[in-house]
Amino acid sequence: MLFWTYGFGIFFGALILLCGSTPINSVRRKFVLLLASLYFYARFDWRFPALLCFSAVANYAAGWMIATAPAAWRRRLALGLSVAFNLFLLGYFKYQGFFADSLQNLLAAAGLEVQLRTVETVVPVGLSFYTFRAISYVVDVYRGELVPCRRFLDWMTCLTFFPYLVAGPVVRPKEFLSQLDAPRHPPVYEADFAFALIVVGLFKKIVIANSLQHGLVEPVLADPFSYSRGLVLAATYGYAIQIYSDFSAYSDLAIGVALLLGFRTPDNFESPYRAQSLQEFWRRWHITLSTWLRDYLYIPLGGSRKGAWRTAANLFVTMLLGGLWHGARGTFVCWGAWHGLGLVVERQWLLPRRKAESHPAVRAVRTVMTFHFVCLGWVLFRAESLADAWDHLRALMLPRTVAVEPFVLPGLLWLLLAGSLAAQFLPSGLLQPVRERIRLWPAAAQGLLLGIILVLLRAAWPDGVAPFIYAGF
Amino acid sequence: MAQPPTYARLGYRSREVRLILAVAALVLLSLDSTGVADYAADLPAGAAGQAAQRLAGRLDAATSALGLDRPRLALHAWYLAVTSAREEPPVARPPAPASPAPVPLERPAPVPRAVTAPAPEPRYSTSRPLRVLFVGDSQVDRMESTLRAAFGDDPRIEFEVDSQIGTGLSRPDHRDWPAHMVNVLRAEPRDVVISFLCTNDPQNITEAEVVHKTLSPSWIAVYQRRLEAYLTAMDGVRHVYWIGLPRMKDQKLEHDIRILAQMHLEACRRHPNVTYFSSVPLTSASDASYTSRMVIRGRSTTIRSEDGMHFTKTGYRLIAGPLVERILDDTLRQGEAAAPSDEQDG
Repeated sequence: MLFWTYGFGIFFGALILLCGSTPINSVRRKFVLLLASLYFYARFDWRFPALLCFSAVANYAAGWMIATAPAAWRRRLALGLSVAFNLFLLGYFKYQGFFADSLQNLLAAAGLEVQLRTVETVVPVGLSFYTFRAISYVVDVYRGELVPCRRFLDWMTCLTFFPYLVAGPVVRPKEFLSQLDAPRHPPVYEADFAFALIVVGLFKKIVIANSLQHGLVEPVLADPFSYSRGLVLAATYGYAIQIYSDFSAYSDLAIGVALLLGFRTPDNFESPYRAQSLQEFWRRWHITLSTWLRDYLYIPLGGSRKGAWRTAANLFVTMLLGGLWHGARGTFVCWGAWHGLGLVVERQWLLPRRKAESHPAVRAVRTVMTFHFVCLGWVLFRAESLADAWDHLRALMLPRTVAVEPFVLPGLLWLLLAGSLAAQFLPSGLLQPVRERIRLWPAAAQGLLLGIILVLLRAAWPDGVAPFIYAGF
Repeated sequence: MAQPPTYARLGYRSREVRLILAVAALVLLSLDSTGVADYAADLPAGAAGQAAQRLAGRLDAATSALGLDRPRLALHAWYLAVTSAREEPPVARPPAPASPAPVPLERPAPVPRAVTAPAPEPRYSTSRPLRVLFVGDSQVDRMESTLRAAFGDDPRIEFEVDSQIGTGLSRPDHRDWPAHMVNVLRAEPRDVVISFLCTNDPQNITEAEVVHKTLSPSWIAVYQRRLEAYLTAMDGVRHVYWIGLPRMKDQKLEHDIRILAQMHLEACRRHPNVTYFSSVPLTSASDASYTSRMVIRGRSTTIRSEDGMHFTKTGYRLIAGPLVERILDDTLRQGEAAAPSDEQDG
């Protein structure tokens, strides 16, 4: 069930009606939310909620074992077992084929022909997201930053909360549970902000990401040598905009929907392509995952506390695993390594030489360089194999020896491409004055405006909208 | 001290949220009843599904009669027109007839049908190249470069592609393939057409405001008529190769696709110029089931993309290699022993 379908509209409308005016922390509301989330998830595959519930039970028990264990070694053991359990789920459903293939190919290179047996499994949608949230729960309980949930219902509502289930954001349980417990009666909603996010999210997905994907990126990059280098470069930029629009659209929609249900969510994107360094890029891109990796992987590895080389190694490993988190494919690992290497070089050699106050031209050059470094990373991210990525890079660099396909990119797509890049540099909160004005309108007029905007977006609705890219992770 | 603006002190009560959503839903139902009817048509069969379809149908009829759906449809048509890239093949074409009239779906103007005893294969050369056209949906977009590479750079082969993502025989409103093929082949005849189409076809068909549920008897009747029209449109082509639909990861889709594949196979048999080239034996596990990986030259390699419908480049190579061999045997290498028939499907 995708956010832009009528099916979701009916589901969400019914949920709003069922929640009514009950306080956020009421048992009835939590129960309704839990059932709704399980129903939402079951629409992808009826087996998925079973695995999610299994994970919820195991992590709930682990939280209590960690909190109540009398000895430190027992607490550590319980934490270790629960983290191992979560990683096992990820490994079994998502990576077993990848690891078996890699091992098999490695052995074959050494002259050992071994046929490893793997089980063909369906990767549960959103598994990576809820597993990371579960890990942060047990780790936070272990660190004493979170009291384990007293009520199982609270924990289930938290882990299964449907707006975050499929493609994040990676909202930590401590951020969510504190809201679930707050007695707010009657509930008051920041609906203007929520509707604005939903409209912007739909625009990004339907108009920007979808149009660029079908009008530029897929046709050109499916056979890049048939097109001019300029067009391949435009398609490369197009993919950078497509993936940003696609993923940030999901975050906007998830945050908007959660807000209408009474829950605030941390920001997940902040104009990432305006970053002047890779470090800044990662503070602006998929913020909830970046901070998760920092707090639960980079810092426990030692962070920057153990010397320059160890810091470099920690950074590199964190990014490598962050790449692997995206999927069981060598190109994701290479993408992580590319960013890891970039961060290491930047941290050790470039950032220390930077002046705090620089000329605007220097800052612009930094932004352009960072953007292009990220774009080269997207080449790896998008490719199905290293050979495909290499083809893409060669198509960007090598002159054409045969006639290329004449390809006229519609003006509107150029406008979307350039406009989306330019929008990265707009100040945040640009729509706020408009929103505040509309907020003063009667509710029926606001509904009319929302309806008209949705109809306009429906006009741009293609016959088939691809699922969100990050829903595959 | 200045007072904070009014909005800063206001939150929305739940009844206001409900009212906003209700009004927005009403606007959507009024101005996008076609979209609602499309959604209802996809609901699973059953009392509730049928009731929803009846209700959506009535709503659609009422709002269409009032012309309420026209603004969105006009805007939709404009948007598709202004965002569609224009692609022209590099080879010079003879001038197309001025504004070819659209051909009705059921009775495409027949391109001269192949005579019963096929004429001998001409000797292909650079001045009389083998003209190959590859047509279909997103499978074609992804397979194009692989197939082009498999043909190599033989100057006696002229290779062109005509594809559109998300099309098939179920949605002539998106692209009417039978009529399209008549026009394309009338403008420029081809020696070989390779068709990789119909992955998107398991969906309801709407015709004359009647919704035919996927794979229902009425759906099959309409679909077979369209399939026949599509193949008839290519009767004048010397060799047509129909790439049979591969295994699908999704079980429901796989079930539907196998029924379609059987229909395709039977339809192809009725046209002597059409060869059904099954992709199933080339891209499935040893027990003919779906597999995402295969051992190729001793390496376990991913052959399917993550959606479980398309292939990776390696996967497309598995189909392209034998297919091109077969085509070259039938055309350029005339006189050599013909490859065994591929008329088998899981």
